[in-house]
Amino acid sequence: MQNKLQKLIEALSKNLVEKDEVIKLALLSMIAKENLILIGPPGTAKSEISRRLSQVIKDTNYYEYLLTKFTTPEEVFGPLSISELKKGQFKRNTDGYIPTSDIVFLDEIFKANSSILNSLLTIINEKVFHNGSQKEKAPLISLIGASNELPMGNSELEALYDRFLVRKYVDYVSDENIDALFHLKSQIFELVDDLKMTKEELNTIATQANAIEIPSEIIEIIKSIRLDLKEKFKDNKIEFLSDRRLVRVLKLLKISAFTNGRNNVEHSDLFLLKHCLWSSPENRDKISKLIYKNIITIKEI
Amino acid sequence: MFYGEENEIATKSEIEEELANLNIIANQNIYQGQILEYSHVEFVYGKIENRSRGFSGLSAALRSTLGLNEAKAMKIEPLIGQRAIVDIKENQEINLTLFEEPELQREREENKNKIKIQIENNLWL
Repeated sequence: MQNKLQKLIEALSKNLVEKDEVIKLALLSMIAKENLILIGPPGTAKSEISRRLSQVIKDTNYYEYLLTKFTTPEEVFGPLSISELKKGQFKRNTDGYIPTSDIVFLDEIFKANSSILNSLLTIINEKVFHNGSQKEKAPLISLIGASNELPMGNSELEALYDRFLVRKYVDYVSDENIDALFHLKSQIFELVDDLKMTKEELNTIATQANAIEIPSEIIEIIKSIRLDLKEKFKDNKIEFLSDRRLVRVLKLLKISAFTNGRNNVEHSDLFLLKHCLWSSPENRDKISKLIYKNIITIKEI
Repeated sequence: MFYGEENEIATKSEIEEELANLNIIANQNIYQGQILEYSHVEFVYGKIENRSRGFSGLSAALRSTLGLNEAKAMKIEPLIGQRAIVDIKENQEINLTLFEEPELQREREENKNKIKIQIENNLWL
């Protein structure tokens, strides 16, 4: 599996500059069936990354949309069915919209208004869409959100932000690598079938990863990171590791270990925490340092 | 936890004797120029013993001996197993010096190298 994933990462990263890390994170998030938020200015290949990822799993429906504060539920959950309305039923035709999609990319996601947020949160949390009086199962595997600003101070949007376990800042190509952009060849990305995964494979990974061990040494480090976070940001209500988040972090670490062909989580997996534990971008570096410090403080490996 | 009995303040010569076998890894001025409410203390010598509270040993020493506010004192964070000397001068400048036994330093370097290899082999990093 490692070989296939390595080739998959290489294929997904082809013709992109300085996007290896975000591609890896996006793929890992998708395999872990987690949500990913890409934060950064426009024109940093966020949509392209998402479109590429949408090709990884066979037989999936992909939906993408650019939200504005005026976006209506019809635009993202589907139009009301006239025939159902004539029968006195309130029902949407959801085919081709978020409720029937496996991979969803929402650009400017924090522009979502209240009429969209409730249904979106239900789909993310419970994988369910309330279509009129019917409760329909939503197949969502992973939601990828993009934004150039974070929703600080808006509790509804903060609830949505909290659902993104993996957070990645995507920036413009650095001056050192800008030359590479001049030599890129424009071509439509198409992933070869051999590298694609199936939904069954994803389910098998989830089941088998569940059995991965987390050694006591690693548990101690995670506990220590949690305590340090609590202490360092005791006056800051934004930076905290909720129980829900902790459980999902552990799941991500297990997926990382399993897809690396290991039976247990090891120290290197903990470096992924730097993409999961920050909320405000200004605290990103501080939290990374706190994580590194705890990992290297260990007495034995 | 501290030199001799708990919270005992070591003399300069006692500390210098110990220092002969230790490696200096950091020496940093951590606080300067603000009037603090404590009397002059020459040295506090502590060993960092608790990982989850990386600098609690040092912090406790400062608090108990000087009544110094933790947040003001802790500009740098010693690691577990390291030793720290806090030298507070009459002009109320505080110097924090961190030390590490060579054996501990070696162990830490070895661990860093092992983690480096782990990282190189981790698909997602």
